[in-house]
Amino acid sequence: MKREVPLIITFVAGAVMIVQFYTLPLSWLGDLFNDFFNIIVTCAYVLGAASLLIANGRKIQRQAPGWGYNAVLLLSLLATLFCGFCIFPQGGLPTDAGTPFDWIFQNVYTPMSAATYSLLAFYIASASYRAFRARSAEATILLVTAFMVMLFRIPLGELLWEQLPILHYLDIGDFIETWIIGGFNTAGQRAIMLGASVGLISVSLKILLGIERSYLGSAD
Amino acid sequence: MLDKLSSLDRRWIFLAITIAVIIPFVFPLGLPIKVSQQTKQFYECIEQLPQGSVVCMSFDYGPGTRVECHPMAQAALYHLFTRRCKVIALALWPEGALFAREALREAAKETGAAEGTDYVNLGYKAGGEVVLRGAGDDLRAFFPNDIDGRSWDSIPMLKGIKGWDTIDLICAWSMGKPGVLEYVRVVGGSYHRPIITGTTAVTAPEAMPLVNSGQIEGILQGMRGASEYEVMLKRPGAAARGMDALSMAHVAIAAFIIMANVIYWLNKRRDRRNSLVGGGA
Amino acid sequence: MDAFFCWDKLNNLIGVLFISGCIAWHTFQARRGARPFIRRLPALGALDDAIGRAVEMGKPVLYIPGVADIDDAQTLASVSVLERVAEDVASYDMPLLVPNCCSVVMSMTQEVVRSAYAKAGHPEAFQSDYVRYLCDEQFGFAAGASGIMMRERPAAIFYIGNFLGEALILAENGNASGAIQVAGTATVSQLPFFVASCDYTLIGEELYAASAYLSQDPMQLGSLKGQDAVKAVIMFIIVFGTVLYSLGFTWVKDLLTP
Repeated sequence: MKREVPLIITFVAGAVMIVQFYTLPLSWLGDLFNDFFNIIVTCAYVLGAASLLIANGRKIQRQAPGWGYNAVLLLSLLATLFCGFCIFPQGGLPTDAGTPFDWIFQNVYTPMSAATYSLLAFYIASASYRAFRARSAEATILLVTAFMVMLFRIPLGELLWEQLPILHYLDIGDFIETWIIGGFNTAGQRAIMLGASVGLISVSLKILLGIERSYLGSAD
Repeated sequence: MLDKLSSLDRRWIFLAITIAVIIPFVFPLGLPIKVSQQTKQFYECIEQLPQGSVVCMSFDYGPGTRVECHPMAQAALYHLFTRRCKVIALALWPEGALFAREALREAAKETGAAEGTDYVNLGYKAGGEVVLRGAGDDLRAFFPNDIDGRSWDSIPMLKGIKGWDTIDLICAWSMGKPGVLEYVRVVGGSYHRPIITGTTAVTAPEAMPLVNSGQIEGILQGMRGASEYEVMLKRPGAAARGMDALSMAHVAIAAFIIMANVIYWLNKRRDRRNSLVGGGA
Repeated sequence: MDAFFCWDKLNNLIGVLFISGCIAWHTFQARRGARPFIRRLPALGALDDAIGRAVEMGKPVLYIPGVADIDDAQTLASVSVLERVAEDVASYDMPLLVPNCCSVVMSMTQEVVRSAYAKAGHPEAFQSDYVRYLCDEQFGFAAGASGIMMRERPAAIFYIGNFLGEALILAENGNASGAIQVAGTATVSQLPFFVASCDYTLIGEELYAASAYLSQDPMQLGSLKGQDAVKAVIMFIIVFGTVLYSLGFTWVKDLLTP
């Protein structure tokens, strides 16, 4: 029974979602099931917070190497929760401009998140240095294409291109956009997307029919 | 030496990129920005809207990608308000609602648009695609109040707005899921409303098949797209200012790729020569 | 009837029924003993090597199931691969670290890893710290997971599931930590980053085929044959439709348009 009940719930929920997609009077069922999902996800945040508290609390208790970082994480978590739940004007919202929560969002969360994202520029450089080498014919094609897209889709690259004799008659920006990105790249992406979509339908079907049960954990 | 260069410590690469990015901020290059066809299409979609059209703008990005998406949003709001269009802002990402407030206030200050009559910020709603489907015939059911708690009925510009059918254009700033793909599936697929988008440079190729098939009518791709759009509007902003730095970073990466290949080729030649000498002996 | 059925989705329904029917037919056909040939997937073959390396070095294995929630099929496909990885790692009584970006996924991966250790006969070896929640925000998660890579120095890292902008941050940090890396995603925009930074990559549909490949379950292998049959039909429609459209006949396009 431990496995049968979740399998039945999965099948019923999946079947309802498929049927409601094609039938107008039953579309409310889809919204209802999605509401259930949102409620479960929201409740699961408690699990996430508990996991954070336990995992980091243990390290602080044991004074494991680097426990100071765990303490900073827990303090930040509790401080943000406190600001979000307790400090905001009466009748207002924690997200209103000028509240401590908004200050944390604007001055801590946003710059830190942006800084992590901006690391991509550095990692793209180091990955390119390591990966783009003309080891074979295929790798050379990839290298030349990547090089063209990287260099000639920026103002400086376009300026350089315009200085080249004869070649400057070709609109390099348009060529890259139409042929490389709009042609080869889109064709390749579509092929991967089509294959992945069929795979996705297959996985969904196997889950609905109970053939794929990994998500329930091992059988014994 | 060659071996050392071939496995160059990545911190040298990071340092070179840092310098390449900083230089243009100290000494701006003022490189000319050429407008691409995609950006022209995006511009035309807004340009062709009659006065008083209602545009739904979805702010689906977080702080990380703010640097790419926010300048697009600011420029598009400026464009829409100067064309006397009305904007309904909403967000499928929690942080998006706060960025919408910031962008709307800045654009309103610049153009004189008024809250409640020219624009409204309906805030964030959790659920992604569910929200879009649920709000299909009745936006009010999912967004009974704006972000500041004002009721739907008390906002003048929302009179006559029901579902997606009453919206003239969807403009989604999208960096992931939920994002423009959800709009294409629900609002484009079921309600046949025109959709334009702005994405990060990384996710743009994923949206391109939808642009080619006409399901997305215009796209701004990353900071480059944003800067081209600013140039078209004759209103250079954050994106146009960042293009010099972007150019220099790209050139630095291209230089590293060339260097890596020269080293690889020299290494290969050395190995071949060594093996010949070894074979001869 | 018009008020009951969405007629503009009729072509969609026929397509779904055809694809599902084809896959289901081949799946149940396989139960009768028809065992299809399945080509070698180097990335999945490398799973054992990567785990073996971790065992030799006495270092943990790190498994990241993506940043999407449980409503994403890529996450579910990832959990299937995790089950197999967890069983292998547990059989050597080695630690398997699974940081999660979503708390629902965490509760599922926790159950999968815990039962894998129990199945391997080492229930006491499982520690709740192994599977933990880090952060819902993708870049916060990337920072946390990169921290684990640098501190724990895992010998093998698996990135299987849906990844967004944080993919390269994770993969480059993993590369710097010296681990052997295997990635798998159907998120097209992140594939180039994984290909550049990882030793092996499962591309698109290979991720969904991984479970069948690893389990060698005849029914699951049958479903792969069904997928291939569907793809053959799609390829035929693309070529046929393109030729007809070029000749001015638009009815194939009209049939496929909602």
